[in-house]
Amino acid sequence: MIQELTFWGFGSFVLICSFLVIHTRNIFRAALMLVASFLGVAVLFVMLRAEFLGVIQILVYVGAIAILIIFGIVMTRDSEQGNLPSGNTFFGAFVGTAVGLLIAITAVNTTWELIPSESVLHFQKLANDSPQIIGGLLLNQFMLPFELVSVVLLAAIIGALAVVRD
Amino acid sequence: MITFEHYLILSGAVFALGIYGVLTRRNLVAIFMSIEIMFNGINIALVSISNFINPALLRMQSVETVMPDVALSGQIFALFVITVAAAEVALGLGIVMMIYRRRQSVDATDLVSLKH
Repeated sequence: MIQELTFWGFGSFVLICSFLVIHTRNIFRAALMLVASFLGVAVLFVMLRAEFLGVIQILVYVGAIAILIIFGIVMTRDSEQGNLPSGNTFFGAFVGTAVGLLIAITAVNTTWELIPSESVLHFQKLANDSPQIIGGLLLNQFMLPFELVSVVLLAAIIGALAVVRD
Repeated sequence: MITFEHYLILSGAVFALGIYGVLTRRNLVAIFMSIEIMFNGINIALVSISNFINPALLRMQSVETVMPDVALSGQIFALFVITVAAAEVALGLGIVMMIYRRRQSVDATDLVSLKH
């Protein structure tokens, strides 16, 4: 019961906030709506037993990315009437609806190999120490992607500095 | 009962909203925010896959002998997506700053100098 309530409540919260991000005229308010939708996604992560990812979502998205975007808005001085629509609203709505419908139809029509209901409890117990297990995974099984992503971050730092500096 | 499909459809809807925003906004920063919305939709899908899909079948193991690291490896993908999103937004906003400094505008419809 509480699960249904949280899912529908926060699912619609995320959708409404994302819609307002796109349709608020004042772009600074749109950025604040973006923060609200990030927080709603973090709640959904906690519901999906990914508590560590929920915390990371708040830290990285709300704490870093949203602040960066707000800095970008403030420094480009366009905030009052910044969020104008372009000419192709109908085309965008058509493509968006088509992609959403495609994903929904595929999700409903595929038979997924779900965790059998009798062993859900077993999996819940496994997911209990998630930060510890994720740390172990990152340093053992996913060592190479972990190192590669650090190279990507380094390249992004150097690239951003080189782009902004000249 | 909230099933896997509920989460997938929600993630698809968030992703579609992001696509709609990218295609219909003119401000470059607003386009960036729409891209972040799309990343969020992808992350919802990845985390729900890690929660609902049976990793034992992928590894040909029996369900009761699954190790905890296999059960959680789906979340690693979402973690990497978050990292790449952070790198992307830092670099992208740097490019937006540079465009603003050169042209005094962040309107995507003004960026047509390749046409002339």
